[in-house]
Amino acid sequence: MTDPVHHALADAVSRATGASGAWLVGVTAAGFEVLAAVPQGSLGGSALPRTSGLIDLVAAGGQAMSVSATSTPVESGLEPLLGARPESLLCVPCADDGEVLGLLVALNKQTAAAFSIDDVEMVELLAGIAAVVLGRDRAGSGR
Amino acid sequence: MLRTAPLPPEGTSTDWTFDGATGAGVRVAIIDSGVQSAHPDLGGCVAADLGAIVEFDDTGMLVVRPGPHDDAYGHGTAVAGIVHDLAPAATVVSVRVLGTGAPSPTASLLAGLGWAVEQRFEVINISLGVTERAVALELHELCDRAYFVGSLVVAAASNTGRISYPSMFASVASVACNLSDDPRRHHYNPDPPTEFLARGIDVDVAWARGQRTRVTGNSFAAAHLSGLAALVKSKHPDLAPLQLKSALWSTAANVRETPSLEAGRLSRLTHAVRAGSA
Repeated sequence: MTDPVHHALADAVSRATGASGAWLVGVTAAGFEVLAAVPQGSLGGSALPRTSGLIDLVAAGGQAMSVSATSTPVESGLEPLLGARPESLLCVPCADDGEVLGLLVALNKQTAAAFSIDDVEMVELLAGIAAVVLGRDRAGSGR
Repeated sequence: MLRTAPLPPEGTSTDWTFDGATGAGVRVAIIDSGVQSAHPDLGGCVAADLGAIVEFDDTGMLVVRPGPHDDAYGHGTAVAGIVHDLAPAATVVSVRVLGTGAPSPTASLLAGLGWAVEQRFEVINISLGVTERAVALELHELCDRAYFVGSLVVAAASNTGRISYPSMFASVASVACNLSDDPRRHHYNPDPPTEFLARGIDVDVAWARGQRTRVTGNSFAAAHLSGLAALVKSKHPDLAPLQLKSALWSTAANVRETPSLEAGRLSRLTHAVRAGSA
């Protein structure tokens, strides 16, 4: 069952950005784990391997980034679960004291071809909250 | 001893700063995911043999290996392409610190930046951010050393003012996105640590495997400022980083066009400088 706080974060991203979907993704030793997905709640708990996709880049580089729907679709790293490359995507790291604990991902903005700088800033704010949540999750699990 | 050149007493105009500049004679280090040197849109600007990759050696130690390498993601190629578009005669040198298998990008960044500082590149672009406080001092010292030997470090900032190194260091030119679609139009932010705004929204960039894509992020704003810095440095090679920053400040759109610097504080979402930064 999806943690309600995780779900709330993903839902907030989706609503704030006008995305058709949003995910909270946790960084694991093996790659990534979908902690919450809106509206595809069934994806919660799904694992994603490390690839050369956008989510790996953002997790490694610590900088938010978005890709426009008017561009050549780039590998996102979400394809194993999405089944296709997203048209537009915004990915923001959730980092706390030196470690990227997760990512907030907004998929396919419905009202424009690209996520705006306001979207980036809003999701960065939510990512700060998510980092605290994920940090406490990790501390609670003893990892 | 580093030579310095005086700035014009009346201030630096865009003509004095940029006119006729091509980036010739300037080496720009791209500390990133690598650069696809053969990308058709980079025009051969990448000196592949002069770059380096941070990787594990046979003993498991993190080392800097000089020489050619590829781009793990496409990000470094995008940054290089922006620099090349602005300063077509500048030499781009890749220092790959991402996608190296290192457990922490911080360790790779320290190693790669240390190597880049030793090479005394004129401009060092870091479109990355780390949040590890434990290495802040070491990273700060590296950025200061770069500053003192004449290298301008340009780094992508965080939009929300959260800790992100090295953009928070005063010796670094930290950059976030403005609202302009003019690659040469940049703004000064009077409320640090972010000092400059440059183009970084919906930018058409070179990407991995010879492709192009459209991206948004402060990474690409930093790349624009690096390209502008390369132009200035190519025309005025004796400028120290302090003077280079001053020249970029004096030619910022909101400094040239608005006599008063009371443009407001840079904050998130609603901000006077960004709102006026189209």
